[in-house]
Amino acid sequence: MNRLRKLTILADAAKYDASCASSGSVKRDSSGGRGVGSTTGMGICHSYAPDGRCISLLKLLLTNFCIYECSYCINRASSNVQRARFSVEEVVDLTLDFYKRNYIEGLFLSSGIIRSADYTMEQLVRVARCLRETHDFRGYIHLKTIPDASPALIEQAGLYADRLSINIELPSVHSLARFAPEKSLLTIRKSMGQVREHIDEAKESRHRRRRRRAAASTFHYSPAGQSTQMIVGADDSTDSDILSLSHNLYRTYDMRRVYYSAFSPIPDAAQTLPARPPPLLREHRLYQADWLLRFYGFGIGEIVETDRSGTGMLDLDVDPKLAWALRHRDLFPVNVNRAPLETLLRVPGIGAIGAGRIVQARQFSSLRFKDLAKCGLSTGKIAPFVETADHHPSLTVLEDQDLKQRFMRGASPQLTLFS
Amino acid sequence: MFVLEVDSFARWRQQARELLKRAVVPEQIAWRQAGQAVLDFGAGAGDFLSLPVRDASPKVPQRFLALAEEVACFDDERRWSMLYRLAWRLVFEDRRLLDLKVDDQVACLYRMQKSVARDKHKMKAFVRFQRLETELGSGEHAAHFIAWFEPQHLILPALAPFFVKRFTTMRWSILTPRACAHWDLQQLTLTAGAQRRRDTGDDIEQLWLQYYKSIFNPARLKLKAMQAEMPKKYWRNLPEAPLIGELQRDAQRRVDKMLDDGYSQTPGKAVQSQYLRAQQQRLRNR
Repeated sequence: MNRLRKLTILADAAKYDASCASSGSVKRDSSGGRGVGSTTGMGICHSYAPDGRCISLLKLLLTNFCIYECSYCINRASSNVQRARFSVEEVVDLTLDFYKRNYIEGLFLSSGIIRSADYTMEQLVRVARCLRETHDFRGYIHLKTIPDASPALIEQAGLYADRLSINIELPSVHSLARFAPEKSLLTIRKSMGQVREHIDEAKESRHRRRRRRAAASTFHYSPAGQSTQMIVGADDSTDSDILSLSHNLYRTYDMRRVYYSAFSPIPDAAQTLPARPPPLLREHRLYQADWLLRFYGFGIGEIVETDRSGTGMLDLDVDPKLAWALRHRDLFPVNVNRAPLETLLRVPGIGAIGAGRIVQARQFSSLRFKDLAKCGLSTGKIAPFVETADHHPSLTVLEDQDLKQRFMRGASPQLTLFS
Repeated sequence: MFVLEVDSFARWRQQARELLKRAVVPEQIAWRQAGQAVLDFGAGAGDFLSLPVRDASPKVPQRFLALAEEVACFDDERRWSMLYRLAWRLVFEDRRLLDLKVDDQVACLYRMQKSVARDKHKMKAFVRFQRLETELGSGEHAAHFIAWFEPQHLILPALAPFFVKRFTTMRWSILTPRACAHWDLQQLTLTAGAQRRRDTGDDIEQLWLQYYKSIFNPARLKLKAMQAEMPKKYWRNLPEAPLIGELQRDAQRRVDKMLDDGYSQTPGKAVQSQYLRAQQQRLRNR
């Protein structure tokens, strides 16, 4: 099988991994080196596919042969998909060839499990080691980590990679047993814990040096941290279940990102899957909620109402912050000239950047309504929720039962493709 | 009226400093891009130097200089006078002016800076090299990587060091309509602009095109999201862009087929293997 054919199969097999981030690593470049590559800390997206996803890394599977039977996965053992396998050298060459033409920031390598977890993990580590040591490659490397691999291999992987990730796959033990019977939540969590420990040790080694308490000896271990991915819509977990788990993962393992992947229709699908994929909009709402939890000071209970009539699901019609505001109309309008930053962040239509600009600009003079547009805000969206000396939304607007409808008219038809 | 010629940020900075020392108001200056025909207004550039110095070291915030250096790449001749007006206001009106985002001129400065920064970011992303064999002086051949790109602003000189640091061990040239940059493993050289060129891609380009097709998931077609980040103005220099139409047209058919085909009926060969089933069982029983 030639290189083109293998690439076709093994890129196709890799596209269900959502992550393509190349940001957050240490800064380095190729000056004084034998090879190519640099990382600036900021990710660069070198292209965009028609699905709107960024192409930053060369995302490949080393092989799509697999002994596992995860029903949502196109590469599960029983699938009739065509199989292929790259050699270590082939992946290394392809990465360098693409990098030198400025197509990519680096490599995101994953693999089906062949022979054993350790054998597979060792192959992945060999690719990374060859790029770093033989070719002095200084671009970005993201390695998918096989949770069952031995601690020694996981330790090595982080010395070559900028980021490691271990997929949590599904929101509950029950679902994991049903849809990914060879995977074990215990091992997944143990490996995540191990990765976190190594990352913390590496950070500590650099802090020590900065404080000049110890001489020399610092090292990097997965400097862009670790991330994970969860399949959405294959099982019956609620959004509340999913967000609670994410919250736990962020805290316990210091995750940089939890990726949500609405499971996608695949050729030759397993019979245990639901007949239709979930609306893509659900995935989008989960990302929005994830942001509110991490950067906007919201609690899970505020975003998904689980108590009262709650279904534990996010409203698909409007974004979660707007949904919260519509449930708490008594807290509005907010006076943009007086409200503290935390309150501004809770206004629909005001993001972190907009809120920062308001706080800065109002030090000079009291803001009028039209000044908010200059702060980069959409005045149409915020109008019912804010007040200034020259703008008081009439109470009838906030009490209007149709307020929600007003916002829904602008909804994008693209996102509702499957609903 | 003083007419001043500027060809670079460094030159503008030097002139602006002398002008501010003498408190020359912005309305009295006409800034001209060097190399363009200049109408004679009857007053030359040097004249203002004879004015008395009011303040030997006028100060603007460091932050302004960083912003100004970026805005100096903006493709509009009025940038120089705009920058001077803001420098003047920072010195004589309010040193905190840059925080006043609702001021029209300040807002304009940030808009221009954002446009330049975005163009720079997109150029880092969308430059595409092709590998050519070129003859060195001695008759030997060596790989040379060449790219043609059309940035919106005058950013190549500012960006060339980024490419040097990334591709230090490659000989490369980036050609644009208004400037070209060349790296010969030792030294960076800037030359005048070039004509559009499009070599037929090397053999790796075929692999890249296939990768672009394979990584696309037809079940998630979102053209607007793609175009927001990869605007059409960049398409003509991206080898993968011509594939977009075809991928888009075929997407719905591919999804329909997957949904119509439904569930897998015949399990693959793999699960018929006893060895494999034993391995799966072992993992499940852990």
